[in-house]
Amino acid sequence: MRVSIKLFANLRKKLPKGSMGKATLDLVEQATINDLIHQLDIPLDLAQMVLVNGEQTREFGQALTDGDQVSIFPPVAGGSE
Amino acid sequence: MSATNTMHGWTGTVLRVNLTTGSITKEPLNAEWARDYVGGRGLGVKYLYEEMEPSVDPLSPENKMIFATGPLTGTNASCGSRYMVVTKGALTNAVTTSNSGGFWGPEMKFAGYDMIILEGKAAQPSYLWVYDDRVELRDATHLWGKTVWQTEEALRAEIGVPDSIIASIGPAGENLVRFACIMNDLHRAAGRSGVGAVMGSKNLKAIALRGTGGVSLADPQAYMEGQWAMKEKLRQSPVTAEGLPMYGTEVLVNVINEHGALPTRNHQQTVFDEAENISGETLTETRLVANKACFSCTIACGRVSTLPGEASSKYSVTTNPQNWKIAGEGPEYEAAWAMGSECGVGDLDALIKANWLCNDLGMDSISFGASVAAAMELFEKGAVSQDQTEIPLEFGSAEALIAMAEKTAYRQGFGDAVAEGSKRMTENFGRPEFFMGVRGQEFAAYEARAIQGMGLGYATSNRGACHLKAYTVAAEILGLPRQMDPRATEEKAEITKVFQDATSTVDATGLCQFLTFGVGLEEMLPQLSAATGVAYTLEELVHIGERIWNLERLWNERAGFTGKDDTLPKRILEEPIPSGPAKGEVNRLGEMLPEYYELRGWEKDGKISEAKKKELGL
Repeated sequence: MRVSIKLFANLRKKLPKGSMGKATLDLVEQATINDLIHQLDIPLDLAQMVLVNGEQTREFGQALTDGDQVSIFPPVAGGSE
Repeated sequence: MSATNTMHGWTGTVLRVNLTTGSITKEPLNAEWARDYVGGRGLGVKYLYEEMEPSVDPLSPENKMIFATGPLTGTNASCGSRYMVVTKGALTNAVTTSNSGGFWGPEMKFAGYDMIILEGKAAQPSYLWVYDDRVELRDATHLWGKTVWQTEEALRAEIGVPDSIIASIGPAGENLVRFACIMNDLHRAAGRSGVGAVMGSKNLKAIALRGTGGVSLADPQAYMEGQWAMKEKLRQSPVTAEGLPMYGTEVLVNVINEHGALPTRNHQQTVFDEAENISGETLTETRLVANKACFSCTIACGRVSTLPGEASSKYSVTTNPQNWKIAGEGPEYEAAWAMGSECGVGDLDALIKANWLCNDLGMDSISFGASVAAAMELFEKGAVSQDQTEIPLEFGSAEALIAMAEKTAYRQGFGDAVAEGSKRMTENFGRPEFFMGVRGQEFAAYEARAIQGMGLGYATSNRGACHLKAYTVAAEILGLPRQMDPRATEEKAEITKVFQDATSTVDATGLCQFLTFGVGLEEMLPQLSAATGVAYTLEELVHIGERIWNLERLWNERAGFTGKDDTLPKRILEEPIPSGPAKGEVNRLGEMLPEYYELRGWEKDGKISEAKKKELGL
């Protein structure tokens, strides 16, 4: 199956320069979010926010399906006056 | 009442300046109040509550302004840079506590003062010059009309003390723009609720400070032990050690947009298709010069940005054109949202320039951007015509955004309407439903329909819609300290109250709220106690936060606000989000508010109960 991924902030260095954090990946059927994070070589504690099709999830054992869009953010924060 | 030289952490002295009479007095800090309200936001509100009738016109001489530091301001505690401007907000008519970093607050402590209280109105433009115990009110007629950056340069040269630190207003404050701010260190803002307009109404252009003293610590060894423990925690936190220094607050553009919670085109949508163009990642890769820290900061979230080559002249401005070829600060996330997605503008260079303009002209970039967005919706829906606006105020127009910054600060043309803030402006044009805010103040950059807790936080914020009083985004989106479902209303009353109270305490210490991304009140406690010599407990610190929150609420009750003001615009409560990940959502405030009142120990109509007042000593 094929999923679209978007990586943000310093996780973008996991992808080739110029990719703007976007890529399409081929995964084996029934691959989980954990498998995806592992394949991207992202340390688990840096996968702070994972969204599948716009919904945040912490269920990393969840199986992905063909066509899913996955966004991954490291720990970040903000909000100032 | 304690003698000045027996206090630690606090300097023990309040500087009081009556601008009408020119009288300058120094008085001992009320030690009992200091213990019960700590400082900064807490102590400032206590003094304002005790000294001023809340029903006064915020732009009248009867309104007072209090510049308040905390006991840890000016110490070497991590992020001990903050001061608060406490007054009745020109934008909101509610109590406001506007917070700024940089170097100005610490300098006030070094000069020997915990607070500066300003009363009355000067007969002509004036500035205050404080050099340790020497305090002078001087004529500023020659500075009136200058921008913030011009003022700092001219004033420092005139004073002849190169290390003086200056807080000033720009043309927006002079022209009583309802969301004018006070700027210090060129780019740091006590931004919200129109504190700059209040200063302008007093004919006060600037306060220049130079202090050569320090901050006395009650127990230096215990203080330093607390310091090392806190620094270690901050070093270990991926947010305070890496995320904030590397990308600044701007990194949230993509975070919030991906969650379908980035208000766009005056909250008509919640996903912005040009978010990547204005994101922290793009800013870092294309326009960032360096990051920057405030006094004693170990995070350094500030952005120094530049407009290289042709980018500097892409949009023409008349304000200080020589400045646009060098570097400036920002934009922060909230500014990039307000002037960016909320106005439909996806050009980062325009946002950098508009942000610099706001800083130089002395305007809150959040309320400015959001007010332009409301004006753009008035234009889109035909409530105002191009005959009135002079320029096409279309969503997405960077040219319109830049032009309105100058027009608004000088109240030229349609800028005069925008300068009233979006609540008054939309009412004046018969479309009050286009105002996106609470108690007269515009929302910050988080869609309350997609993040339920933020709706409750906005609705109950004492200074009008504000993200800084209960940043539930941390839990609902960022997973700090634990992940909560942003779409659920369960537990939101509780977390909103907990965040409001804890934040009130942090704001009283003189520390920066960004510490809370890495540490909690328990890590701040050892330094606060060791600095002041007051053996606070964690329970007391939480209680102090609750006391501050309730006192602000009580102040607002006396000013005429009721539980009916704890609400959100119709669009947020009734119009489902049209598209994106949060499609179909509205804010379910009605499910959270009664529980919140109950947790607060207030009456069913939101009035503070007598029992709660008694419990908190109000």
